[in-house]
Amino acid sequence: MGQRIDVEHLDVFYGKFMAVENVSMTINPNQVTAFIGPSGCGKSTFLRTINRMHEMTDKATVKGSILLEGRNLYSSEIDPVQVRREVGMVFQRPNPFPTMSIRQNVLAGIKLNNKSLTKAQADEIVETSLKGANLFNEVKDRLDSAAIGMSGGQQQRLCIARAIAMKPSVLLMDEPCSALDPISTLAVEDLIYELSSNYTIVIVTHNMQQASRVSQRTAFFNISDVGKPGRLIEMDQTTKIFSNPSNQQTENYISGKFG
Amino acid sequence: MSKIGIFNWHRLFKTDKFYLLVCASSLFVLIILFAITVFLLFSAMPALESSQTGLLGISWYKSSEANNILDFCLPLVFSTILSSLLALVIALPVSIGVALFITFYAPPKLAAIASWVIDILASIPSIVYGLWGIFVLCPFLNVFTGNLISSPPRVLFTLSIVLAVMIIPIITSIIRDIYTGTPHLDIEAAYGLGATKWEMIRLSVLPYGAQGAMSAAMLGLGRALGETMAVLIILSPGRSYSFNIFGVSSHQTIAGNIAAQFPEANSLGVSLLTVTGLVLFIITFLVNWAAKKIAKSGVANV
Amino acid sequence: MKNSVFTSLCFLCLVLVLSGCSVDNDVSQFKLNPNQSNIDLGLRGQMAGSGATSQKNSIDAWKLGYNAYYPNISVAYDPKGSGGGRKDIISGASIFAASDKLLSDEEIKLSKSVCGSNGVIQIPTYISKIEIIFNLDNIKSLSLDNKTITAIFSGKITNWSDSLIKLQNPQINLPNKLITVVRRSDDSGTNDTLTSFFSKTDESLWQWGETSSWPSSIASLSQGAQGTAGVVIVSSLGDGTISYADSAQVGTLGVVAMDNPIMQISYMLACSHYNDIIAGQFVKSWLGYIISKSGQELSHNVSNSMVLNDSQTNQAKKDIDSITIGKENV
Repeated sequence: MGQRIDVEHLDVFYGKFMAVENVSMTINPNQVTAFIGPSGCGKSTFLRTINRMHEMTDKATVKGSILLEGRNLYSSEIDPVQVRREVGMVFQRPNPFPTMSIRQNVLAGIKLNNKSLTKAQADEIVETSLKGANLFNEVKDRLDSAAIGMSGGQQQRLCIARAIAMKPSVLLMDEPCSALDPISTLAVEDLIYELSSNYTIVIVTHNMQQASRVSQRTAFFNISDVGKPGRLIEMDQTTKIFSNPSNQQTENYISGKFG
Repeated sequence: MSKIGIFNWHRLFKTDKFYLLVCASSLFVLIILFAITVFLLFSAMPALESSQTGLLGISWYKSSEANNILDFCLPLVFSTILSSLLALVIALPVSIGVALFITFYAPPKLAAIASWVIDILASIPSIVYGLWGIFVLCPFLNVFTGNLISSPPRVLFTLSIVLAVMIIPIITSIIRDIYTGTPHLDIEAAYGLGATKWEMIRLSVLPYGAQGAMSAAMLGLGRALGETMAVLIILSPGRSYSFNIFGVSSHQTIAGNIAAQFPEANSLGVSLLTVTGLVLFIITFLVNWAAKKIAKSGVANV
Repeated sequence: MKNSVFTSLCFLCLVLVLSGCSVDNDVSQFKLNPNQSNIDLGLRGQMAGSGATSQKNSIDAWKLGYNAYYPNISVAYDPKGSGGGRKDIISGASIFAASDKLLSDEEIKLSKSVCGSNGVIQIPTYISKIEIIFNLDNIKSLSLDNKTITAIFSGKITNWSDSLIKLQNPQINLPNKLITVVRRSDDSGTNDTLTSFFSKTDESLWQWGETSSWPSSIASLSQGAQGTAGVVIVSSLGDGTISYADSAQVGTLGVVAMDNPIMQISYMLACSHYNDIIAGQFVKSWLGYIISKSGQELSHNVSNSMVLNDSQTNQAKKDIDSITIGKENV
């Protein structure tokens, strides 16, 4: 069910300023790929180009292409809105819609596409998605209560449920556990592991241990100096990156010499 | 010792001067409210205590053919609420539309100009709107209504349009500020699900701004309820419970009536006018209370 | 269209100060020839009056005329309305006042504590014509008898093409248009005069007697506007309107030709007794000037008012003489 992503010579610009330079990589389906690197190295920026979310910022542009199973997401016939329906995103801080219930949150994305769902169909989607996010048993008795009444970890799992309700082929996660306590983090990490067999997952993380726990492949980004663009330094099997990286910068980063 | 930020609030609060200043300001507001209420009750007493015969000494009370004070006030209450609600129904969608346009659709320069224009419109005195209503709007509408309704069409409908135009700037600037403050996270959540701009507004902005929009609407409604000069110039006064907003000389608002009769009123007349003022005061309270109720129930529902 | 816009702009200034500011009148064209012996330099001070808007133009002229004889008196007049004037003379805030309406019994009673044991004196000083005005196509004049006029204002005749109107105006091409009556919605002495005229003309048509407030049962058949300026503006803006106003403020609207014009009497109010000697002397000389031939002719030239006849003048003289000053006859 997951799809393969090929990035070809991607540059990311904010106005005239180049934020990320010449990234090329392959992201395998049904796997977790982690992006690591120091602050400001462009990994989040790059992540957001995969579902064209960077376009929300004024004057943000890209050069190059990103192919989803061979289709170029940046070709002129493709509508960014459509891209985001196929490539889901989970953000750094849980952001369920504050005025909606748990049930309404899960269905929010679906309702954008098909306005008419029978109650049975809707219930089924809610249950499947919440189960898929390991949240159903905890909230099945209060599906109509306020989403923001839950704990941080539960809210983040709700956001994941909301994203997977859309049945995307790719799930992008931008530091999804950085605002959560360790127990919730563990729950989310377990979830990521379970989801990986059906989705292509890309996770940006500051936490190297998390990357090594959760991902099969890891990409290390770095920035040479302030004002310079970020670059992809090395990408390989997670075990290799963390035990025996090919690049000296990678070695320095994972051994804590900077970052 | 409570330390929040860099200040030691505990010690600061206990300082005599600061504490007194803060308390005095709060008390001042309460005292004013209290004083107004007392004044209204006091001035209204003579009319409230007067018999029907006594009231018939007031020429405009006599020609109103009212049976008692309540009978006299109610048509005024009806027209006041009808004209203001109609104005709000016209103004609120327009205000929301303009606020959304400025915040999400307009290019930055256009948005800045539009905001500036709205702020200027908000500060135009109401009598200017009244003059615009009678010299521009009425003749314009007259072209369409001609002999169907009275010529010129100085009816509740025309008044409500002018009231709407008057309250749009205030409602718009408040709502615009609220919409600008929509949390970025909620906006991203909507876009992340593949929402178009309008869908994002529906999902994130409008629910977030609903309570604030309600407050802004109440503020606008308050201004419409109390509007005097525009009513005096535009509306041809009358007494009825008619919902026919195109009927001439069928309506008169409380504020318009006070302004019309006050110059020639004797002391009992002034007292009777104060009674109507007291009624308007109570209406304002009720509107505010209802608004708070609705706002609370909206939040608790979810 | 152009006509009504012009009229509207003309009356824009009037409406802006609804309390009744008016256009300045240049009275210097009217010759006043006081000889040396008439001029009194000894009487000096500031004298405050207030009241009706109807007399404002004449009062402005009278001020100048009066100053020719009494150059050291400065008269200030606040045209806040008849009601305000009556309130002021009763409270003592004004030395004299002008009103379109006589005081009520209650008001006279109240005045006795401030204005002397006989209360306020009311002297007719300004008699003006109330014109019936209308705005219909470009028609400048119509003939209507009293009964027709009463029928129109009572809501019995509703269209300009009515046979009764046609009968009295055979050469005029009357269009098929609704008649919109425009009335004074404020409490006005003019309403008193007009409704009294209707009652006297035909009580079966006008069943509501004399009143300063338009009866609400027929209010919905007409439009109301605030003040003379208001009715004139609304009449100008509408098509097929009919209304009434002081002949000095009619502007370019059409006027109904009547056999016996409707006259409105406006009064000057003064106390029957003044403790302050200067104030008392002022009031007596002021009123004396106003009812004099030159004063009345000046008013006629400026406002088109009617000069007081002999019996009115004599009665006024008697009233003025009865004013007591200082310690006299208290």
